[in-house]
Amino acid sequence: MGVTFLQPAVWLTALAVALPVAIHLLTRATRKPVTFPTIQFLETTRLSAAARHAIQDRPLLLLRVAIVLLAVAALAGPILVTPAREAAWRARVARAVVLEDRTAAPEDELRSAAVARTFARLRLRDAVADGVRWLEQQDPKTREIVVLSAFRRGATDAADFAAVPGHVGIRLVRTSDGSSMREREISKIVWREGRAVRVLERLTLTPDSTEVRELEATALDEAPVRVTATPADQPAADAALRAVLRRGLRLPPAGLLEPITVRWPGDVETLAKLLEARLEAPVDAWEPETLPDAELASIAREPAPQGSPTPVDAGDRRTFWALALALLVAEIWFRKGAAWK
Amino acid sequence: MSRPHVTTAAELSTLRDLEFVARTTVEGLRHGLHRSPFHGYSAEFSQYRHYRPGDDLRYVDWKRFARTDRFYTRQFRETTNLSALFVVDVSLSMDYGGKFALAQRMAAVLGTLVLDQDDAAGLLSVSDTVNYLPPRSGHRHLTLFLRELATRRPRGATPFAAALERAGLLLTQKGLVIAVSDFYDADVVVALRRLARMGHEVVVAQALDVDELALPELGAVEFVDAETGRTVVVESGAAAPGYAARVHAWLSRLEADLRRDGFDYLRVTTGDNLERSLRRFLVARTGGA
Repeated sequence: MGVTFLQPAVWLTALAVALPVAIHLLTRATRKPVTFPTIQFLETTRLSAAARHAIQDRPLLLLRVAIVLLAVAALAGPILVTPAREAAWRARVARAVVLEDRTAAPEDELRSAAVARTFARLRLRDAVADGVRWLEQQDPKTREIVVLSAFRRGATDAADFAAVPGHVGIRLVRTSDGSSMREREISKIVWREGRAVRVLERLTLTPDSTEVRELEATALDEAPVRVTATPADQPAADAALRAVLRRGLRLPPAGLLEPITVRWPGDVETLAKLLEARLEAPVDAWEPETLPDAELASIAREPAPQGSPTPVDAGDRRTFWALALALLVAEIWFRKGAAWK
Repeated sequence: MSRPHVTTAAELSTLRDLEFVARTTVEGLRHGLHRSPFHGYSAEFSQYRHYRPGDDLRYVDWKRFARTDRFYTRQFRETTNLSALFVVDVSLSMDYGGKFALAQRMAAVLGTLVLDQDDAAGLLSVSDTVNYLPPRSGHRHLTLFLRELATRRPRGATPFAAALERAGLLLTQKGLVIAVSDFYDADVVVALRRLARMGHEVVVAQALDVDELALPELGAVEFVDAETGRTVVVESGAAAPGYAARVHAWLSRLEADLRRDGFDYLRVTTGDNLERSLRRFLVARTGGA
């Protein structure tokens, strides 16, 4: 068992202890007790400031020094580090629970942690990033990020956890097998308000419905698709391209690395098919639907405790203050008793 | 009861000092006193006889003179010598400044007066031991009396009342008890009354140091009771007025109690002139003669 202090610099004020000691030694050296025939006619008078500090005996001096030391210790933020406390501290967990959908996190995940918070964003990687930021703001303790998801391919992958610091544990909990629902993220180029815009959409396919949700939109300086034609046909070709882009032109999963140039085929539908043929990724590349357990296991890891074991407890400070107060009461009792004996 | 067998140099010095003070003071007092302040006791009234020149006027019956217009002198069957016992307080409260020396001088002067008129004087002090010199008369006894007085030193915290009670046990016949103390013991008046009830004449001689009447200016200081060892911390300047008031109230109360009981009361401090104080006391005691 030991004692550590949150603000050890406060111990400099312990120099105040030197004051009563110095007064004690000085007064002892210069003033001796006077033996008097009788003290029955003497009553204790209100002493001057110097005389009040004139400590007459050693126990009183020790008592006062102890009071000052305890008060200084209380100000310095004492922490009693007991083995039990240390073990309890190590068991404390700050947990960020990342949810794939808006459903509530399981109660036991929240209750079993010292501090816990849930994070839900449209994209899992954004929620993970939010969770990591929050974990870094917590007091030194074991940190863990728990992801509750079906882990459908396309919704998340190992790259989403690359930014998670090494000491933060990662636990991946599969909530369903994903067979009843499919999810895709699709990049498109569309023509909006007179310019080409790259749009990221999430496409959720369930047995009953299809949901398309736009995740982000980035305006482009110029369209990454160009149609070449004779000078006479060029205006018609550009108009046809704008018409195709207004409907949306899907990009491959890897994005569009270089601008595409096609020749003007003569009509809009043919141009659309021509461009889709050049850009669209094969559907088969998106299978299987969920990340395999082996891949999840390679991402998961145990948390590592951070910082020195300083289980802060405000009760310790109160304990020191209470001890100082108790000694102060004892000192008053002692002094009054000495004065009237 | 113990008697010192060896006289130390300090005691010898005190003895010489006491002898000198006693002799010079008694000589001075004799010039001021027309008759002895101490006298013996008659055992029983015997008869009247006609006054003859030379008879002591103290024994003239003035009431009878008023009724018969003739002088008659009272005669007593037997007249005894005065037996005076000096009970000296040797508790540690007397060991302050020149207080105990003052008590010794008072006892020495009064003892010399008693012994010089062929009466008997003894000495008693009680501490952890009892020191008793039985009353005797004669010049040789005067030397012994003064030597005994010179060897006394304050020690212990035996209450003075205990010494007075011991005096009551030691005195086998009526006599004069001269109690020399500071009289801080609360039970002392009761003990004096008991002696008076036993038929003894009691003289109270109180010795005090001037510091005991007016607290000296010492600043903040811890006073230690000489007998009990208890302490009190006071700012002497601030405490002095209250202290003086309490001491004077106590002295007034003590004097009133003693006088009400018919005791002769003498108070001398180290700042007083001993001869003058004794003269005033003895003159008053002899009825202003």
